[in-house]
Amino acid sequence: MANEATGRAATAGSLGESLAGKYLTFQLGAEEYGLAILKVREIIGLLDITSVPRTPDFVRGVINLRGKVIAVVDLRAKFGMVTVEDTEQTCIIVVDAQAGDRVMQMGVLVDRVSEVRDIDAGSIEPPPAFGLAIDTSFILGMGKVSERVLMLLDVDKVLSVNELLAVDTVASDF
Amino acid sequence: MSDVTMESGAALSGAAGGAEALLGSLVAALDAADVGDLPGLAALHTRLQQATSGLPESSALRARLLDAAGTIEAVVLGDVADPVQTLAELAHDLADSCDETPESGTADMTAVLDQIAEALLLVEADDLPALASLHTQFERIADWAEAEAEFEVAKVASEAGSLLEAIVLAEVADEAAALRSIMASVEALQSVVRDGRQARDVAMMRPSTPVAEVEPLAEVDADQPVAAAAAQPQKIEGDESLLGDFVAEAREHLEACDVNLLTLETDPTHDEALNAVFRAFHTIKGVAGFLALRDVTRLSHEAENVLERARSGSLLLEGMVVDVIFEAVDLLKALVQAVHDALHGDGMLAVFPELDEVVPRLKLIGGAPAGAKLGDLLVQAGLVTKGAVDSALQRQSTGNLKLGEQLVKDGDAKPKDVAIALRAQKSAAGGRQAQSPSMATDTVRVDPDRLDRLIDTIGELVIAESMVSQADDIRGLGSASVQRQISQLDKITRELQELGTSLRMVPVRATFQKMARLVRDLGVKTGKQVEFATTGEDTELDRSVVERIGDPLVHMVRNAVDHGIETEVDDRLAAGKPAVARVELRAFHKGGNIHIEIHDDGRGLDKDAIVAKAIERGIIKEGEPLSDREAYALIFEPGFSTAKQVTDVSGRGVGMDVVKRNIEALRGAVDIRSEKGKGSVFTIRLPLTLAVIDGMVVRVGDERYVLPTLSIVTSIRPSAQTLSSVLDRGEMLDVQGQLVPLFRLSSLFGIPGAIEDATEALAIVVDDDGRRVCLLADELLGQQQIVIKSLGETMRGLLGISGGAIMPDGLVGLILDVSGLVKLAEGNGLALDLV
Repeated sequence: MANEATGRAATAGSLGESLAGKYLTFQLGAEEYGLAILKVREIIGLLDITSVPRTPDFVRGVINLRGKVIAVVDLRAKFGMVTVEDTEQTCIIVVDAQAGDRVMQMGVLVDRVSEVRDIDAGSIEPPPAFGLAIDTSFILGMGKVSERVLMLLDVDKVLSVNELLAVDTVASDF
Repeated sequence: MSDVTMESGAALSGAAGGAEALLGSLVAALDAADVGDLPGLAALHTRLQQATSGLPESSALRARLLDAAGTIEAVVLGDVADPVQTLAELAHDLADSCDETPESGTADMTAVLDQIAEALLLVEADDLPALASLHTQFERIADWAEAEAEFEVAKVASEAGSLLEAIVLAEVADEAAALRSIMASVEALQSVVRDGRQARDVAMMRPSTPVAEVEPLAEVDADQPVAAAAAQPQKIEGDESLLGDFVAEAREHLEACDVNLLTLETDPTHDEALNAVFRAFHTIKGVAGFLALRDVTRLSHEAENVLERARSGSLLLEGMVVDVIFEAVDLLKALVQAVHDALHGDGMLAVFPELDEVVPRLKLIGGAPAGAKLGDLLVQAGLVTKGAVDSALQRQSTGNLKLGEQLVKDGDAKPKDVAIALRAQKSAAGGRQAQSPSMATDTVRVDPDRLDRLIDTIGELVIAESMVSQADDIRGLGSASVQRQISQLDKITRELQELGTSLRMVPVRATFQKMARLVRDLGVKTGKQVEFATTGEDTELDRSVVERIGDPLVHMVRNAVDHGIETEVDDRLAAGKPAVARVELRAFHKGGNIHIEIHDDGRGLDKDAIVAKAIERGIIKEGEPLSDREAYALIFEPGFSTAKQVTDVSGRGVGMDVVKRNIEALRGAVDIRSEKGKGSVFTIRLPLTLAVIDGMVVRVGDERYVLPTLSIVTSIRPSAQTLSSVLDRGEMLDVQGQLVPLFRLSSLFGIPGAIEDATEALAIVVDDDGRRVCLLADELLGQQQIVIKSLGETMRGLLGISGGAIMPDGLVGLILDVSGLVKLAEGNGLALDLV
């Protein structure tokens, strides 16, 4: 982890280059995060979520997105943060997550969606390393925007399918 | 060819003549063009445009060619109402302009020859389209020469043409040498044409490497049968989407071939079927040539030759001949599959050694002239060496064997090849006239993903519509006009939904047709005479069901022919049945289901034998009273059949448990009716679509789940007397005298707030592949039709949940999977396995 971090620092410039772009920013408690805008499909208000038994607690359940069933991940739970009651501002960001060679839609439950920001290469730094204490592998980089720090998330890693489930064989592909 | 000096004054007409020759080849190409053959048409279009580039702006020909190019473009884009007609007219028009251009004999040919020479310099041996166009030009020269009575010229030209064809078909060992030889021929022709007509003896003028020296490989080594002509694996080249289209199209053509060949077999004079088969091979050959798929080109070319002979009436398609064509179809299918695999794999085409068996056979049939000798035929097709025939002939004179027998005896030839050769030798008869164009089917190919998306969207629309029309706000308006409009919207939505569902439906015809082929092959193999009939081929089933019903059907049809029908014709006659057995497939709607029946008029199932065997296998106990139906159902039991052959029923059970499982996986059922000595009927009952199921909605705590009605046996409220516990952990329920393990959904799924006291809850007895278990839920909310939705990749493999459903309130309901639940329960050790 430490080695990896120094490696990252060494390539900070190119990291910034590759990460620069538009981000949808949202909040979890006091922290602010960013999702690459190209990964975001839409933002919907909170609706009734059907919980699915025997899934990890960060999987809130499934929703009906215009006839399509998609899973919703509670980011607070996923990041091991204190869970709070849903509010008026709680919403679901529908993203395109890469699972193997397939792209699938998933919902991400967040406290509040803020805005879309342009983040240039110069203001992106590699993620900090906390050793084994805190897993930061799904943070692509830290963006510094007007005195605040944005954590740029790697959606594919956050929503890694393997973590959501283990077993195989469900009936239908209809 | 800069050193070629044309006769003075012929230069201008020569240029026009060149264009004319080109026009001729274009007309020929147009004649052969298929409306569905888009790559072919596109290539034509390009050629037309290229042809115009050499012509002066003012030329009428140029305008005409541009017109033609425009028309082809319109055909390709589908802007033309009747493409077949349009192409035919175009060909006709161009042919007219062909005739209009002044014929200036020698000068024309000079120009054509110059073109050929130029093209030859540039052409590569694997540039099939270019070779094909050269071939056409040689044919033109040959035609012209024959018309001018320049027979030697004609001969040289047609020889060069054949050599080119041999290169295209990869039958030539040294392609470069062959091309050089063609070049030499062209030079000879050029000098003959240029030096005027005094040089009639072209043979004198022929260069040192005459065409004959570089002969097709088949005849080069007279002492060795043809070995693999192009045995190295070939790498596919060309546009992937074109190749993909080719695979899809070729498959369709070949499927159609099967059907038409079956028709031809019963009626060899069926022109339409013959033409359809011919067209299929022709189209495949054309596109394969364009895509440089050599093996496919070679095989389809030979098959086409045979069919061409049949079309011209010099060969009757029957018996062995049809068998060989069937072989060709099968091999082509394999080749096309190889293209498909290569496309999705490393791009290398598999090598098919069978090619070197089938192609010579086809050649044998396609090339046998009347009165040919058997030995010559075999040698010509490359199946036997000349030496072998000679030595067989010598020995034959001492013995009494016929040449064919001698060859087989010596091991020089395969019996099958000799039989085919004899056949080919004999079938010089058959008065038939062909030619009647058949209809092109007017269907649209749609990407299945797009179709599914459309259907999904319609589903969304239906849900949104019902949510709007049910909304309290709207109902509260109390406006009659809004209500009217909403009910109109409702009607349209429903129509759209029906339409959407029907889009997924395909007729079972194609599946049935495959069975026809199967029955035929089985009949040949088992030596039984079987007549096959189908009814209700237009009955439609969900696409996904049709795809998956094939295997079980194959199994059952095979059983019907193999085991259902009597082996001895005498047995049939003794039972008062016609000698020719009958197997029939029927499809029809009945009570919201699709029924597919397999009838055979064979010996029927032997109940006693089945029961005896089931007892022997320990499936049932001795003395159990069984109805006929129950007894027949035993053949679906796993382990019923083994390799051991037992009386009449043996083999009836081959893999029947798999058949049953497959059908049940489609939420269908199988049923058997049978009468000993009269025949059997296997009935497959299938739901109309896989996407909708009947479900019971149950509540557990605050959660709702859907249980497929099919898997529910009964539901009861347990009483204290019927409940018992095992080891203080497992629970059991006495259901009509049978002890059934009881699982609580609430504990399986960890749902809080569910009813603790089982006597106040609802026990649902479900059937999991023959074994019964009880699921405890809080209450039953009702029954409804449910559209199954996949939970997607994320939730794939969730034990106990088979999918999601959109409930009428727009929320997602989860569909329970009984066997998964049982696995879950057993894994958790919540109950003991007592059944």
